[in-house]
Amino acid sequence: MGNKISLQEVECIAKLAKIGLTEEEKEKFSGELSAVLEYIEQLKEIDTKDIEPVSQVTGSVNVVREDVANNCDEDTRKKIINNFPEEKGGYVKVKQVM
Amino acid sequence: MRLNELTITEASDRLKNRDLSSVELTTACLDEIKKTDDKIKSFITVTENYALLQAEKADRKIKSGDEKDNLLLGIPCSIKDIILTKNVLTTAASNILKNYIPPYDATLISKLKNRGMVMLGKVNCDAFAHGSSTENSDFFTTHNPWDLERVPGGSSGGSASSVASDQCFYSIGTDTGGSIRQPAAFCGVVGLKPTYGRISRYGLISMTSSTDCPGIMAKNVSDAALLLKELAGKDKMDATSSDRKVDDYFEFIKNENIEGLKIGVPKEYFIEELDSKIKNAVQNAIEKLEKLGAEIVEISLPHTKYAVPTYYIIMPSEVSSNLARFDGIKYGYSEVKSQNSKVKSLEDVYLKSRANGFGSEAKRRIILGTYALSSGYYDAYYLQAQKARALIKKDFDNAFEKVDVIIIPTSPNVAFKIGEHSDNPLELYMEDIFLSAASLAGVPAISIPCGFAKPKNGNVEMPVGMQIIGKHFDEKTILKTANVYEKSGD
Repeated sequence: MGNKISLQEVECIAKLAKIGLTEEEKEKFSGELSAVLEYIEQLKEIDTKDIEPVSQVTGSVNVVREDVANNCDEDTRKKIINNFPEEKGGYVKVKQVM
Repeated sequence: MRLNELTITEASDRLKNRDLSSVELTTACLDEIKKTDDKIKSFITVTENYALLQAEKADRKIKSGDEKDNLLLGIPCSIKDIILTKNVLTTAASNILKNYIPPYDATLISKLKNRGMVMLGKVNCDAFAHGSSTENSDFFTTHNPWDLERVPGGSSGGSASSVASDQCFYSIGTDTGGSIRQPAAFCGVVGLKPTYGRISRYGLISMTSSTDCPGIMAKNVSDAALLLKELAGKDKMDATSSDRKVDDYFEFIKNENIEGLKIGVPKEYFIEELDSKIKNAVQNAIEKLEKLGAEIVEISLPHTKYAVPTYYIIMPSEVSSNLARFDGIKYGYSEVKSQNSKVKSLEDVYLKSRANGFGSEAKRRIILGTYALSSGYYDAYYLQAQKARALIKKDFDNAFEKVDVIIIPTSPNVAFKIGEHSDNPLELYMEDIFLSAASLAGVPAISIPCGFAKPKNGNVEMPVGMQIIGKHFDEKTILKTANVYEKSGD
């Protein structure tokens, strides 16, 4: 019996998730995740006709706030910038996109 | 009795009487850590100097006579390494955050600092809280203080082991699908997962945002009640935190009358897979509560068996989204900084940073979640799981029309051996069968010790835990029930 998630599918999902995987990992995940998915299949037997999916469970609705930026103090700002792997003039530096 | 074995309230009384100092308490804990942690391995980081400074500060406050009512002042604790602590290494027990120094505190840390917390250090967990044993920590596995060959449970395993071994007075952990309750049961301590939204999530390294709950590990129920009162409440930094009234849990549980309390016992949880010794321990506890005045009602939670499969769709889906932020660009491990880096493109930075930064379980969950959310599968998996979740929640709503609390075991087995399940992720996921439903429904649950049982493959008696589950925001009733049981003695 073939795996529910094929090697090619694992590759394709890994690409979407932007994770590099080794050949061994692809092989391993294809097997393991297929087993997990088979187990999860049992959800299909539940009759969910007319059931609204939940998005929250404790009864809160539409918690909003003003869309305003709060400046942080200089010390915090420096610490955030210090965490950047690459930095230039206080900005995050990334590889060329275009 | 050694100082580090005291409870919070006992230690606080003696601090206030000037019988001992916070520095003495802190030193006793630090000595215990030095003596035992090379075997137990609770701590990723010990903040010795910082702890002693906080203790001296607390002693000055105590001396001045201010804050007489503040029972947390000068009491040493440990914090799960998934909770952000300003200027103190916070790793989520993951390689990708191995060197991460947060620029801010989680709200719960700010609250504890305001109450004069003495933080001894940051404790181990499964990386990103993905697991039930700490075996998924990218650094090392924590050992159960009762039997060092066994796991402490997880993901908050270091929190449980540090409290159980008296390395600290209490610990703050997180519970997304059982990560406080199960290690509390395995290590024989009290573990409280409050209602979703009761304690702010701001400053937690997110796992499953719709079920993540910070919570408490303590030596007894009254200490847990005290801590919940300090930590609960609305936080403008977490839109899902609740503005519901925070009760004075600590005072409330002093009333030990449970006459007429209705305890629901769901038949779906007393199943074959449940170790008979654990079943007996929990049933004895229920009988004891009955003798003390509670009324026992058999109830049904018909969708129980779907809780784990539902959780294993919703959780990885949210994980895949939450862990997208670890991309080698803003913070954490980045391939651009690695010595032999050959990254040329932005795409390479993402792919390689995540490939080398994440451990196996994080990758497994990201892949599964991305699959479940991808077009073509969304309706079959994620949407169906959110509908199943509605039914699981409805089960609890229906049950709580008839009863005040529900009692079930915390885990179907006692702590298992290190390595026993590590080759089979599905087997490990089965650890969650008694835990996932309360997380999905967002209801509060506390695990308390209710005896010991000898595992089939061992000779050491290990702690057994039982869970008391309550209505949304009704932590006071589960704490009261737990306290009455605890006080009834064994």
